[in-house]
Order: sequence, then C-alpha cells, then structure tokens
Amino acid sequence: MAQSELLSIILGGIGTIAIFSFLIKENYFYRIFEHMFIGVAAGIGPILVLRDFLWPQIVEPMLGYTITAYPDGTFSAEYQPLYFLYVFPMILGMLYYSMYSRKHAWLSKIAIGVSLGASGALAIRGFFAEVIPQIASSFKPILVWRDGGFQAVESVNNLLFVAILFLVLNYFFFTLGRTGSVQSRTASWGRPLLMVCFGAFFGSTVMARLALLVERVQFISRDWISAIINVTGGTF
Amino acid sequence: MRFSHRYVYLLMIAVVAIPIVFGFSTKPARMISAERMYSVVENVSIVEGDIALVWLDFGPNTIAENGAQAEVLLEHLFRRRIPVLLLSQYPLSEGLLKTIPRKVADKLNIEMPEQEWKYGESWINGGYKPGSGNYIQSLVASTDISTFLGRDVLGMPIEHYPAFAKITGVEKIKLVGEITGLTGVFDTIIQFFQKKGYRPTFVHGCTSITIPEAYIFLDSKQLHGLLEGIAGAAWYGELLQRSFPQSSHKNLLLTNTALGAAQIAIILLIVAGNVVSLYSWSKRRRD
Amino acid sequence: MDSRTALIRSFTFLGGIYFFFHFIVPESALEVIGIKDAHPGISNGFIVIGAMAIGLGIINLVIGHGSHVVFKRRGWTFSAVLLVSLVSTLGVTTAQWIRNRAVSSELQRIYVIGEFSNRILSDASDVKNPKSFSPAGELPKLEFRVHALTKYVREVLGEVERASIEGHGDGSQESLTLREELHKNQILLAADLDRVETVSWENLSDSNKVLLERVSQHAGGYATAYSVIRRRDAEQGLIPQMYTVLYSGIFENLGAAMFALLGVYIAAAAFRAFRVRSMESTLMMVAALVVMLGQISFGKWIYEDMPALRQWLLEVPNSAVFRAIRFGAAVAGLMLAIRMWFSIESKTSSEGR
Repeated sequence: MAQSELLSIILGGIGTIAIFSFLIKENYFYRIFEHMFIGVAAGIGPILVLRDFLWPQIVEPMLGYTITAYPDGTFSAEYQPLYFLYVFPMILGMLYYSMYSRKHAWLSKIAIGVSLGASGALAIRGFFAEVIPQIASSFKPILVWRDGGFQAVESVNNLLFVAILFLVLNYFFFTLGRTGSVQSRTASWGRPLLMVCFGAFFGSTVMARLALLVERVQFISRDWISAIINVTGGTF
Repeated sequence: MRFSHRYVYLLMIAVVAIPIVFGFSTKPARMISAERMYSVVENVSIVEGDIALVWLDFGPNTIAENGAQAEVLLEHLFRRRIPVLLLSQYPLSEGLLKTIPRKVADKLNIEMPEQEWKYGESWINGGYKPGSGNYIQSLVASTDISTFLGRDVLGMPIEHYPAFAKITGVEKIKLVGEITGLTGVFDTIIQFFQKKGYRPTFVHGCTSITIPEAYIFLDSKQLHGLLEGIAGAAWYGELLQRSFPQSSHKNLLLTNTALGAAQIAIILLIVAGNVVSLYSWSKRRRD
Repeated sequence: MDSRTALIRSFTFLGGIYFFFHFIVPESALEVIGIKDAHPGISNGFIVIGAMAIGLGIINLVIGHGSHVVFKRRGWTFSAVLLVSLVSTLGVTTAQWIRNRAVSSELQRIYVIGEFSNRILSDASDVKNPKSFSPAGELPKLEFRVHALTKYVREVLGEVERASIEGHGDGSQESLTLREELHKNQILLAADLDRVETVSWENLSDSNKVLLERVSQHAGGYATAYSVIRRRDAEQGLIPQMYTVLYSGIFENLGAAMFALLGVYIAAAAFRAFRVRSMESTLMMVAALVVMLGQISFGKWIYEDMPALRQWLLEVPNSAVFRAIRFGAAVAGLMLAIRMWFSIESKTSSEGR
C-alpha cells in the first residue's frame, strides 16, 4: 500500500471519529474537521470546470491548440476563426463579478438573465421529452389478451394502476371541486393511496440512510483498524 | 418517560458492526429490476467503434450505495470488453472517476492475469462536464463526439485512444448508464439524452431514496434497467458470480447483510416506540 | 420599466429564444440554415457564461472567512482551517493538472508519428481532397513529407532514449516488461525507418503504403508503451500523493461520515416519531414494512414472496401515485420555466436596481 493511501485511511478514520463525536455533542474536534471538509469540497469544483471544460472545449479550439503541427510544416486542420466568438460569452460571463461593485452590481443580472432564459427554454423542451412517454404509458390496456389467452393478473394490475392514477390526480384538482360533485366526493380517496407511496418512500429512505452508516462502520472496523495495526507494527 | 436518544445511536452502530466484525453474510434478496438490468447489459451488442457511456454523478454522500453499483456495472462491461467512456455532471465525483474503474480493472487483472484491462482501452475518464441538460443536448447533437470532448482528464486528446477515436455520433453509444442519487441529474439524462431517431438503452443505479421515483421511468420504458441501492448491487453481484464463478463480492454481501440487520432494528424500534407510546397513553388515562 | 430593467429582461428573453426555436424548428430547416452543425458550439457558448462564475464561490469564502481570520473574530481558527484546506486543494489540483498536461505534451510528440504517417498515406491516396492543411496552399511533395517524418522520428527516438537512460520506472517486474515492450517497438521502428530511407518516394506504390502503415503501427505500440511508463512515473510524485490524501483521505471520508450521521438519526426518529394512530398511518406503516422486508435477506424468512410483494407495491400502487405527483410537478416546472424565460418569476433577478 502506498504511503499516501495509508495516510489517507488513518486521517479518514480520525476524521470519521471526529464527525461521529457530534452524536455526543457539538465539539471543537468536530468543527475543525467540518471546516476542513467544506474547504476541500469548495476547492475541487472550480479547477475541474477549467480543466475538463473551459480549457479543452473552449480555450484550446479558440487558440488553435487542437490543431497538430506536422514536421513538414503542414497542419492537421485549418484554424476556424469562428471559435473566436467564444470571447463574447466569456465577456458576458465576466459580468457576474460586477456584483462586488455596489454601483455596477446590476450588470451581473444580465449574465444571470441569459443563463436563466436559456435554462427556462431548455426546460420547456425537457418537459415534453420527459412527460409525453409518461402520458403514453399511462394508457394501459385494461383487458390484456396475449398469446391467445386472457391475462387476468396483468389486467387487474393495469386496472388498479389506471384507477389509482386518476384518483390521485383527482385529489390534486383543487380548483375544479364543487361541493357535492362526484369529483369532490371522490377527492379524498387519493389520500390513503398517497400514504402507501409515502410508506414506500420511508422504507426506501431507511435503506439509503443506513447504507451510509454501514459503509462507515465497515471502513472503521476493517480498513482503519488494519492501517493502525500496519503502522504500529501490530502492537496496537 | 425520559430516554436518551444516544442509546439508540449506540444500538444502531452495534447492530451494524456485529455482522461486519464477525464476517456473517447471507444471500441477498432477489431484485427483479436488477435482473432486468443484467440482461440488458448482457445483450448489448457492439461492433468496433461502439462504446458505453457511464455517468458517475455521486460523491461521498452516496458512495455507500452508488459506489457498489458503479463497481458491478463496470465489472460487467469490462468483462464484456465494452469500452467505457466515463463522464460526470457532478464535480465532487472527481476522484471516484479515477479510483472506481481502477479498482475494478485491478480485480479483473488479478483474476485473469493472462488478459489485461487498462486505461485507454477498457475505459477513459472524460471528467466533469458543467452545463447539465445544456451540455448533454449539445453532446447528443455532436457529429464527432471524440473531437467534441477534446481531452481526457490526463490532458490527452480523446482521438489518441483507438477504442474511443471514432465516436462519430451519439448512435455509437450503445448503452448509457447513470449512477447517481441526484434526481435532477438523472432527469437531465431522461430529458436530453435523446434526439430524433435515437433513444439510448439506458440503465440507472439509484440510491434507495429515489427508488419509488425511478419505477415510473421503468414503466414508461424510458429506463431499461435499475439497480436499487445496495440490495440491487448485491443481487447484481450474485448474478455476475453465477455467470463468472471467479467473480467474488464478499464485501458487498457483508454490507448487504449488515444493512438487513439494521433495517430489522429499525422495524423493532418503530414497534418499541409504538408500544411505549401506547403504554404511556394508557397510564395517563388510568391516572 | 427603466432602461436597465428592459436591458436585463431583453437579455433573458434572448437567452432562451435560441433554444426555443431550436426545439420547434424542424431538423431539415436547421440543416439548411447551417444551425445543425453549429449547434454544439453555440450550446457550449451558453455554458461558458455560467462557467465563468467559477470564481464567485471562492471569492465569497475568502471574503467571509478571511475577515474572520484577519480580525480574529469568534471561531477564527475554524475559518483558518477552511481557508488552508481551500487553498491546498486549489493548489494541488492545479499542480496535478499542469503536471498531467506536461506529460501529455511530451507524449503527443510521440503520438504525432503515427498520426502523421497516416496523414501522409491518406493525403497521397486522395490528392484532390487532402485532410491536412498547408499555409502555403499546396501540400509539400510526398518525398519531402516522408523525409520530414523520418527526421522527426529519429529526433524523438533520441529524446526518449535519453529520458529512458535518465531512469523512468519503479524497477518492478511490470515496469521492466514495459521497458522491454518499448525497446522492442523502438527496434522495429528504427528498422522501418532504415527501409523507408532506402526506397524511392516519387509515387505512393503499394509497397510504400505497407511501409508507412508499418511505421504507424510500430509508432502506436511505441507510444502506448512509453505513455504507460510515463503515466506510472507521474503517479508516483508528491503532488499525486497529496491529492490522494486531500480527496480520498479528507474529502471522501469526512463527506461519508457527515451523511452517515443520518443513519443513526433516522433510527432515533423511527423510535420517537413513527406512531400508528390512524388508518392512513397504518397504511403507510404497512407499505414501509413491505418495502423494507422485501429488500433484505431476512425478509424471505418471514414470507417467501416478500421480494415479489415489494416489487408489486413499487410497480403498481407506488408508480401510479408517483406518476400523478410527477405530472403535477412537471406542469408546475413548465410554468416556472416559462415565467423565468419571460422574467415574470422574480423581480429581484430582473430589475435593474
């Protein structure tokens, strides 16, 4: 095992115990590691944006660095001056930093606005791409005939699916209801069905949360203890 | 009744630790959606130049579940010799993009020393891509994805890796995998990783919290396979072991067993909480 | 509406109009007006705007926590720890990037051999549509290009040999095997060059084609072996080890531990808060029990078909309910998107104050 890996495990174990000490009460040890975590987490993202996107996909094509120069003085491709247009979104993006000037802060709203507008328009497209297949698959055949026979189980399941879907949708139609109408009388039927869904959610959430605990206990009881034994030469 | 919740904390840690410390593991529960996913991955057919694209969009906050899922999915793809392009929409997965495929490749290299799984052939790491849905629809629209991506995280042009040099369009991507606990990130793939005449074969590894939500996409066939938390990964590992007897997932089984014990403890705590509550209520009524 | 507000709202509207039209205009029309091929580039332009904001988080953290440290406010030591971790991560990640780029530039000098050989072949095979670009207008003659190739390869081979003698590799068996592979390809490549230099390159004959293909193939093998050796070396240095400690040691472990706290909190919540007091809470409890027992090994011990029952619960009632919820949320999302695009969602982000 490389020394850096060993150090990582030992440090990670100490950090885990420090974080778990919060279960007893908030303390100095916990807060030190909490701030260390925030510092590291905040430092990762910006460099990655530069390394994995801005540099290889924007700056390099703009400066022609993606073109290979061959030993005979020729090039793998001709430079495309259109790439230089990336300067404009860069300038627009720089407007974000005007928020640090009280006088010019409003300019940052231009950059925010363009991003919001683009996200809004893309979300319209995303809505249709996501929802239309959902609507189509909601129209299930209530009587299923397949392989020359009636599929009773599938038919009942489909009927249940469609009925539950409509009952829950009906529950959410707050604007249509008139006292005494069929819609208002059946609206409350959606509630117990929602509870079934929330129950499934709770059951699943329990598994997700406990998985995190299991992973940590596994790390401390196996990796960390082994690393400590390794470092202390078995005298621990 | 005064009761310190610290006893509950201690109880939970003890319940989880017992199977791990004593190495007690049981066979995982059968997960039908994981079986479907296994068969989808098993039946992906590729020709030279085709690849699988796997998004690893998780950090340490969901590594317990997503890490295990990524390992079994990559193991299956590596065993099938499908070149994998790894990307991420989540910056904090940076280190995992490097360590997880390396771990899987090392495992296979030890298992079959006569063969080799290595960076540049079995997988490459394209790194973090900002822009979410905007980036994805841009990637899908590109007619030369190798050039579009530019370089991998090591700074090498993607075109230098023969298996990834000719991704001439999104049609070359025969399988899309998304391992994440973030519903927004998963939604962007559902919404934007498609174009006229192309919809990917799409598999998803989700954290347990998002299981109920993911099922609606399985039903609409927008999703073709699903790994549900640790339980899904454990069953997928079991299926891998059936096809490849040398494939061992001892740690995953141990985790799954500890998780099962913890869930039993939760059920007992709910019951105990209700009994205590009922007792207090009846005592108050008697008084 | 003042002029600043009008300007902000116009930019917001213009930001969205491109994607909206790209969505509604048929693909054939996009192709005719030349947008289809340019679309990935245009989309990247929009991402660039957001990506330029990368420094905001850092600046805010430095201002906020820096002032704590400078004026020694309460808890300044925590702020100092945060700033030191932030600066270390930024420094190490940047150093790692620069180092990898330097290695890649070095490797690219070798990869060019294969690429250039292939280019000479393809350009000579299709003289009317050459892929290479020459600033002089016309591509140099085949003989000149091949001569430039051989000269370049000998230069690069010399450089790598010198670097190799200086001692890359960790001395392991794997490293020795890689060196053998490198040496083998070096000999093959040198032999190819000798043959290339002895034949005439007036025209591209079939035997010449084979020779260039061999150069490309052996250069590929040589480049691959050398890149593995260099990458292994690059992983051994101080910077990658510091990166491992920062990412795997601190970030991964502390992040996992922070979220693992939820595991014990949910246990306490299960004991203290989950009360079965009504028909609805009973339904919720039953559904939760089925899901929990259906996904664990022990569930089968209670009821053989527990996993199947869980599957049915998730596939039928849960999916139907969730789809209804999702329809509502999706329509709300659509409305929000339209309101954002037309700047009627929030005045604070669209008013020029």
